[in-house]
Amino acid sequence: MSFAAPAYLAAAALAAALVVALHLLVRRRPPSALLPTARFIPDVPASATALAARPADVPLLLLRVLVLLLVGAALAGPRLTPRPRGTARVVAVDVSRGASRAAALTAAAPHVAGAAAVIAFDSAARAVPADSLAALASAPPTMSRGSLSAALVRALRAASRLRESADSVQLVLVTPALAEEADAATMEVRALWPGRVDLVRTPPAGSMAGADSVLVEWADSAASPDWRRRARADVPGALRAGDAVLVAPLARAWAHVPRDSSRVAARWTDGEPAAVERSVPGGCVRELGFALPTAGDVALRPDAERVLARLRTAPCAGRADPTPMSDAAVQALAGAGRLARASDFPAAARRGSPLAPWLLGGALLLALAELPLRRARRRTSANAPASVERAA
Amino acid sequence: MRLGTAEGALLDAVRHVRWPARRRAPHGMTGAHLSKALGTSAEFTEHRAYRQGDEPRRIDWKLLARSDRVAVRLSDDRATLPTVLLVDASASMAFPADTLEKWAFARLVAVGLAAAAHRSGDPVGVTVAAADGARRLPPRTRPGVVHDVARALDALRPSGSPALAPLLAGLRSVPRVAVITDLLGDADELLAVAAASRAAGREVHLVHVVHALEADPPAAPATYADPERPEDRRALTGETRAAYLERFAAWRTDVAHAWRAAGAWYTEVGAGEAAERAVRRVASGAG
Repeated sequence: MSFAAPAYLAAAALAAALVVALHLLVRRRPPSALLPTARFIPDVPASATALAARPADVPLLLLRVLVLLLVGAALAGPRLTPRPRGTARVVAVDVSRGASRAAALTAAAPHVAGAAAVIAFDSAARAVPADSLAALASAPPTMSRGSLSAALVRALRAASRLRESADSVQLVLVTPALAEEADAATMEVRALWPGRVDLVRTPPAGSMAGADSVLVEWADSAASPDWRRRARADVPGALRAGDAVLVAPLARAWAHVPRDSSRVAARWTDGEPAAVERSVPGGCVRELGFALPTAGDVALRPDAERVLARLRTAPCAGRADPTPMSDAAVQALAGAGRLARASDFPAAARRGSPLAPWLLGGALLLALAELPLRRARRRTSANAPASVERAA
Repeated sequence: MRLGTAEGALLDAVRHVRWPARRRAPHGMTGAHLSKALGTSAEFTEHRAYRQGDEPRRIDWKLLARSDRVAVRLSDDRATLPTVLLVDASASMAFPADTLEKWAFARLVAVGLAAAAHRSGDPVGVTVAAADGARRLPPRTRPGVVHDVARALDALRPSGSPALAPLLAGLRSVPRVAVITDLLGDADELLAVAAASRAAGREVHLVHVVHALEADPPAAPATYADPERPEDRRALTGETRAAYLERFAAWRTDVAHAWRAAGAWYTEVGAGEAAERAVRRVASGAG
């Protein structure tokens, strides 16, 4: 068992010791004798406090000590923790756009078996059940860039939770280790891991080679769920795509539904997206949330041609950069030496102790039991003359 | 029964002590005390005119020769003074519980006074207020009466709360009564009866027995209970001791004043005093 706040337990022990000391204080009446002229002594209560060799009222003392210790233990946040032994393994698998997912899952499989925690990461990291990792193979590919920082932060959290059940923690990082997956914080976060990282490099995603293909869709086609028709169309007056600007009374009949995977390719003058781009294997799809009027010469104007040319031919953004990390960076990421000791990780933040309510309930019951116990003790002392009374 | 060592030593110490009457004794058997009645002893007191019926041999012929007056010679008579010792045998007299010194002292004083009265030729008896009923020894002048008094007192152990006032009231025909008590019982009633007895012309002595530990209890804190009222427990501590001494002394002063005002002879004895000295003080009326 461990305690989140052992100071409460120490305070409870101190209070219990104080109660024991109070039970050693007794109020004694002076010894009794006969005196025929006692009637001339003023009738005032007289007693003296003295230290007894044995505590008075032992059952009540034990009850009170137990109540205090139970309350202190409850406030101390006890947890039943298994005896730490062996090495716990944390596996972080790169499932971002830069990693070949099939290769990553295959490379991770032998490490996932028996792992204490499995993390799948792209731009964010999340813990996944070990038996569900294989299901990621059939999940739709993501165009999110991998983040080693996110993976390392998640791994640190998992290690904190494992610190009380293992002697050491092994981190297996399955990733192609592309340069785009490291950011300014990656090495700082890596430094928080107090041991080596077992790096399993996987090949990068194969679709990263070749030219991009751009598919343009009009929102009017209603092919994309990313656009919804406005209740009333308005006329913002102009839109901009990169450095191309079109000033024309174009009707804005569609409103963009924001998605994490889409990027804005053009904006209206009031900042609302006029066109968005989303990555697909082999290129990207650009969805235009406006329509060129069929009447008039707007479609023939040079600024309209420029805007449309930009939307039609500009290279797709979000294409993974296949440049790998430098050897030095890889070496720094992997590190060397022993595995991380579990005790080197900070303790995970405890939300609450499952034992605390039971301990508090027990303390409450014992406190209630004091009432009948004292009543019984009072009846006993009333029936028999006592020369010693408990001071507390 | 032979007297104990203490009684024997006491009788030896008080063998010269006399207990004179404080007033003229009632007319009775010839004794050591001046009698109220005038008699025919050698102590000439006065002349009285001859009355018809006087004995001719009592006529003072010399006075007749000198003065032609016919008168008879009168002189003091002496009589005995029957005495009863009324002794308190209540539980408060059994103090301390292990030695019974207070009761032993009261017994010695009673025996000493009995001896002093007997030595003057006075009939002496004892009445003991005991829990199981009064023990009475009528006044006698026979030689062994002092031993009888000692034996009567030695056979008792003080206990209970017997009343003294009714017993004193029953001794109304006895010219002299000495009450030996600690006045922790029916003190007010006893005083009233004593005042009535004094008003009737009888001699009443109060021998107030106070033990040394009552006058000066131990300084160590203790809880004390009255043996006649054990439910009343009082704690004698440093704070209450001064008040106790003051209260007890004031009470003794008050009772002494009250008894003397009633006409009785009050003597406080005990408190570390030798029994023979107490007997002398009572007998001499020194108070």
